[in-house]
Amino acid sequence: MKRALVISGGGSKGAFAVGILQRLRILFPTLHFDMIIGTSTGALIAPLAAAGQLDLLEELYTTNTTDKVVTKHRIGDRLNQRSIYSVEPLWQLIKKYITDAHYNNILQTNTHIYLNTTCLQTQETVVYTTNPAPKFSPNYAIKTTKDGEHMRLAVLGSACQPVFMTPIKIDLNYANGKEKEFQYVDGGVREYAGIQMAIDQGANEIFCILLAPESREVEGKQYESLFPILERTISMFSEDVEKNDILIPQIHRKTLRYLQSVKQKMLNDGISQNQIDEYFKIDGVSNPLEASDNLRLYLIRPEASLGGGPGGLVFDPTEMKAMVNTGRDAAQDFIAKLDPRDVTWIV
Amino acid sequence: MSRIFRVYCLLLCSLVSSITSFSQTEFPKEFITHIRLHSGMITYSNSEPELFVGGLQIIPQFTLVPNKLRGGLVAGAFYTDNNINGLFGPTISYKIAEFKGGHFGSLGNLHINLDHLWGTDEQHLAGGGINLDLLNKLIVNLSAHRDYKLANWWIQCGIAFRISKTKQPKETFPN
Repeated sequence: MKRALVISGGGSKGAFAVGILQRLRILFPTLHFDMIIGTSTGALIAPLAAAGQLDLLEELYTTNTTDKVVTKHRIGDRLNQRSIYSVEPLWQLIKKYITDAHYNNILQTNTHIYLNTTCLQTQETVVYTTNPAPKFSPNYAIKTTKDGEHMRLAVLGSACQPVFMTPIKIDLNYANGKEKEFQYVDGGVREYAGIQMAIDQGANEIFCILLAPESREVEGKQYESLFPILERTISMFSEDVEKNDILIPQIHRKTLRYLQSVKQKMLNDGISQNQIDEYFKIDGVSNPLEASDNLRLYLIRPEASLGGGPGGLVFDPTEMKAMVNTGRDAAQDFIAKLDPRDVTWIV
Repeated sequence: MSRIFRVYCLLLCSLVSSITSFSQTEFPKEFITHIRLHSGMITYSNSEPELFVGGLQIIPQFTLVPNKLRGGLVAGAFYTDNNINGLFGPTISYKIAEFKGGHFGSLGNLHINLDHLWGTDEQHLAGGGINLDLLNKLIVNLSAHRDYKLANWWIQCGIAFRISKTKQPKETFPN
């Protein structure tokens, strides 16, 4: 069993994920993840979660206000710049909280982290990982981080929502040729939650923390001016990417369950296992689900919107403390609803 | 008198509340220079005809109280009554409102300016105006000054352009 933790994007709503991790740690101190995959705010959480620094994570997600994450400006001053906000405060936060000691600590654990970014030049998802020998996939590029600074730059790149936040040259000091000039932005542009990535990397038990509720709230208000419409559109874009990300793994899982039920029915009707296996062998056609037998996917998400403004760009400590508590409650509910036979992580 | 005092207090309260209730991106700590084209008229209280006045001013300012107050100088030349004269003097600008662009920052501000200007032909102007600053690039203003030496009013409108560069924040990561 290879276990993955996937944390989606969502800015300040990452506080919800922090609450979940804290409660899981209390309930299951031996729960171990072989990989932690983070996108955007999930990328900020992943290194500290892998290093076991949950108290630091709580501090990070409950004490910082928006101006400690980004600097807002007069919009006119930013028209010929790369972003509306400047992200130097976020970079300073990342440097403060994710140290070289944490990076070395992660390398010594057997948890690999994967940080999703999107490359503006190649338009593809690029994953930065601490895994020295990651599995390659035709669906995205994957690179191993060289040191703590490289990982921190990947975290920053993954967190930078394009237009609002600056594209980052993650590989400027770590690659040669054209590649070193490539600019990276939020991995959520292409991949909001890296569930498929976890499957590709060999995970067959996946805990996925999503930061948006499944059902959309119907708003009564009218959108009458440009900026509220733009903010609403940003939220809809990220939610749409999220739906697509989850849809494919869910179909994958449902298909597996369906096939297993069919096989069980055949067994019950007296067909032998060998015969069943023969039915499912087709000459010249490989079984696309063969590598992911027994996939378990656990989604943990809020029941209602967490707040945090458009794209989670508003960092309000009071609101984020409430998100941490909501996350703790959500973890408790998740555990309560689990089938005890599914709990494989109690040693 | 008491009515004037009440109106004054009300205006002061509204000014203070408008300043303190906004999150601040306008009037950051900076050195800023505008160049202003202005035109209008000089009016006299007696039967003398109104005179056209127009000119060009340069207005360098520095933020004295971040997000609230700038101070600096006005220096310029103006044309009126077939003559070209110069004028100069101190000015202050006081922000009274900030126009928010959602969560993205600010689109502009409304500020008042007060100044005292000396002209090269014995003019002594005291007054001010109201200014609409758009995108920190363009200011449209209306102003009124009393020439207390020559006993006339200068009523003008103007358009100003920021000519100083905007300082961008230092970023210490590769981008």
